[in-house]
Amino acid sequence: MENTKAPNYRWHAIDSLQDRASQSKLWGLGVFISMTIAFALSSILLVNAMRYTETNLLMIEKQPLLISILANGILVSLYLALLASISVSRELDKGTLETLLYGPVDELTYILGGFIAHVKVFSLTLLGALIWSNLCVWLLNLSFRLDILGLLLASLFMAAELIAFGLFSAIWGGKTRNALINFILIVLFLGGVQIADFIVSGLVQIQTSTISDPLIVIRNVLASLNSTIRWISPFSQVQRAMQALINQQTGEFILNMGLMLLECALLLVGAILLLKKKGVRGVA
Amino acid sequence: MQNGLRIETRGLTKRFGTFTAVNKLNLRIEPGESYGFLGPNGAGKTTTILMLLGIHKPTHGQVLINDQVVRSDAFALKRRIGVVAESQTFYDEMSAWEYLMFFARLFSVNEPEKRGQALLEQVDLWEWRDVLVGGYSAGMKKKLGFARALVHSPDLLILDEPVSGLDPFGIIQVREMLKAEQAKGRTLLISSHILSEVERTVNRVGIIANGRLIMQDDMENVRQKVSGFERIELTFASLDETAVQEIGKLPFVQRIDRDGNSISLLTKDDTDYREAVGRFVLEKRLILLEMKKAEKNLEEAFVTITENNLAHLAGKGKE
Repeated sequence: MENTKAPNYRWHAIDSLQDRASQSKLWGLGVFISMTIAFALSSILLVNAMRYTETNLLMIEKQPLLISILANGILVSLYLALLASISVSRELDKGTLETLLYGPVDELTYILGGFIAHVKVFSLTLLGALIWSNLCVWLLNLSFRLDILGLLLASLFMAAELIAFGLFSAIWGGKTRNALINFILIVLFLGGVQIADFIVSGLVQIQTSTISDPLIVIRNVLASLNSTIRWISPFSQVQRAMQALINQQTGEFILNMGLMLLECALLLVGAILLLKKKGVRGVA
Repeated sequence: MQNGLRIETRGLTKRFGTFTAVNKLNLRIEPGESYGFLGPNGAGKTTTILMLLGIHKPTHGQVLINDQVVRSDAFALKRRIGVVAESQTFYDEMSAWEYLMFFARLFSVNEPEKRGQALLEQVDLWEWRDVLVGGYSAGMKKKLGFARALVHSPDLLILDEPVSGLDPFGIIQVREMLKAEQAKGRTLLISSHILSEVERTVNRVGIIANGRLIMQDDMENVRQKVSGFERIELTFASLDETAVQEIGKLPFVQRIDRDGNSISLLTKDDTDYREAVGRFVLEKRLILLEMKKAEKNLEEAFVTITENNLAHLAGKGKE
């Protein structure tokens, strides 16, 4: 009964797993709702950027589309990473993962299957982002630069890193609730520090503060935290990649892309090893 | 005819902290054999099965299937094994058909639709194929689990409590399926505590208690090895209470059960007391219609063996 032509059992299993997982995501409404929200937000950001250019009588806005595309990528990838975390922790919770492991599936196969599925879905949403940006270029008479493609690629790397983190937090948390709490808290921390640092440093700059001002202390703490987590935060990495694109710093762009790729690989290896160690029944 | 797989465990041990779930287990199941793995709840059956499948890593010892060490990435080997677990879980958001086709693809089954239809018809789920598995009853899920385990025509079928949750009709269906699989030369490992079910399906039995294999033999030999009592069944033309009481007072009778004009005697040892009973009946001028030595079922054998061995082990512990 078995088809002996299957060339590589592991890749065949990965392909079967990723296909099932990506189909279930694409047949659901969630991805499309998150895409709609992301596009609406991106459009608002774009309109605001255009108004800012107009009100300040600026002749050129270097790349008004980039921020919108970045926001779109962050929102959709966060949603997909959350989905990845929920689906894996649910499989662990319910025991369906154990049933898979009875067959030609091991920990590496399972994690890679889940990872590829979610990255695949994100890639499809990037197609939507590309169509949307072309539409904006056409409607608003903007210039289409290759930077947009570079940022879409950077968004893909960021999404891969976030999805890998989602998978890692699912295995780490074990139960669905714990996995979600871990994921949300860490993402809030990474994003929150970056945003807070941006706001507080702006406030301090425009004030005539003394050295004892508590805002200075907060600024210093946030700045030092941010300087540390900027190397590990995917939001910071993708932002720096975007800045490198605008400033045409190829080296900086490659460095940040490499960092995202490296972190993604480390998180995937961590998830596989952790799953092997913990086992599907919680005992090794 | 297919080639079943050989299972062998060597000194297989699994400890969870200080608790030893499986202790130095040595099993050998030959290709094409139907093996009953028996034991009371908590004896270590499921832990052993999980080690056979590479889900649990043994603390000591080895599991070999066809002389190959079982690891989670032994894909070629795992593609030849079908499993029906004790507590099965499904993707509730999928229909039975989608579920079966997913596993057919995972196992690279040729003509998956044809195979899927045949299996769903066999387990009476064909008409329900488009219903979401989440809406299935426990019995239907169990049957779907059978279909999934058989979708790739495995050479080794491992079944943990295969008939729990099934109605009598479902039990008969499963029994027929297992016999058909055995006839194809597949190796069957059936773990159960519903002993009467195993008795009809397997040809060799291993009994495990407290993580140790306390007996392993052919089905027939296991029955013969059970010592300590015999059951004699008698049917009379008529029977009064005094006669029943007098029979009950015979020195070799341990227990007597009456059902109308029939009685069942449980003897104190395994000697054949039919002659003694016959003499007593003649003496009392009772009209005996039938007397036979009842064939012991595995339920009784199992209880006797495990009780004796557990008592023996407890005795050893005290020493």
